[in-house]
Amino acid sequence: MTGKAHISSDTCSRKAFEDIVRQYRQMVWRISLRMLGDPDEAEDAVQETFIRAWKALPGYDARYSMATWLGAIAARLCYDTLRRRTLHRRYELETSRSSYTDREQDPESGNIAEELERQLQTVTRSLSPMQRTVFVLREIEQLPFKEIRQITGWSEIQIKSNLYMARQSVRKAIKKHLTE
Amino acid sequence: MDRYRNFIDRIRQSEPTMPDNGDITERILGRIRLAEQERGLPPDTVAPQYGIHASHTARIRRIAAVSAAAAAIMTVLAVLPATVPDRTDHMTEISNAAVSSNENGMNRNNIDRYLQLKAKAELYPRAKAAAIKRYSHDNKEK
Repeated sequence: MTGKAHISSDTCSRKAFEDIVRQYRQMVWRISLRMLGDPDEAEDAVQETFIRAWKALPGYDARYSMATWLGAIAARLCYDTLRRRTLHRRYELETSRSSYTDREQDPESGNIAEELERQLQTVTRSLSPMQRTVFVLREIEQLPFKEIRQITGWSEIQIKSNLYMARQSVRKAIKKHLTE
Repeated sequence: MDRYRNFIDRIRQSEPTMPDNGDITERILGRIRLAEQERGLPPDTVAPQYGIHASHTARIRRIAAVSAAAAAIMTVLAVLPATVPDRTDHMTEISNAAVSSNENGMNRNNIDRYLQLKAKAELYPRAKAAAIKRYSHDNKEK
């Protein structure tokens, strides 16, 4: 026994996978939205995450929880998207026309959660992809450092230093942009 | 509580909901079905193994790596002779080697040596006979 328990073929069937999608889509959506800051892009990331998960499902290591595994796929995917954005220098443009910013003018969008997400996007706008990833996984999703290390492949020093810089930046942004 | 902590706590407690909730599952499963059809798999099949060794990209990368390694070896082999110093200085060019100018002279020397040896050999029986003669004469005198 290698200790790596492969998921049964029954679980790999599409019907079983449908249940996995239903159960974890909100969690994956939450991580994607908080990392990307755009509901449309987050929805694409959710789809892509589950398709990648379906492809990799026979190799799923049952020692890890399904939530951690899917979260890792989503976080990596979103990090790649953030890096591409930075490379193409579209980041400011994208965030400035995010759907949540548009919804601010919509009279029906009085939702507190949406308002909070909009504020989160405002205060995390200046973070680098690395800082943003660490900030969302540690500060908001409250994942332990060990798990973040497994997801990202970064060292603990890298994670902690990026988290420190992200916190400093967000503190400043809260003072600047958010009213009491 | 400071504003930062307060803000983070509120974010942690909030649960943003995904729009078109029922629809997205169908879209994901639709894409999976499409992928199955493209690969000619029967519907509701077990997902195939997409390990690194099975992926198309990995195969291309492997081929590229092998080609690069072969090219590197060829380059090294091509450059190596130029970098090794010429070690032929201690050798003698055969065309410059000294050649005996008189071949007959060599033969003459050999003949002379042969004749000298032959003359010595002819002296030997005579010297022997003389020695025997003298020995027997001495014996008689005694």
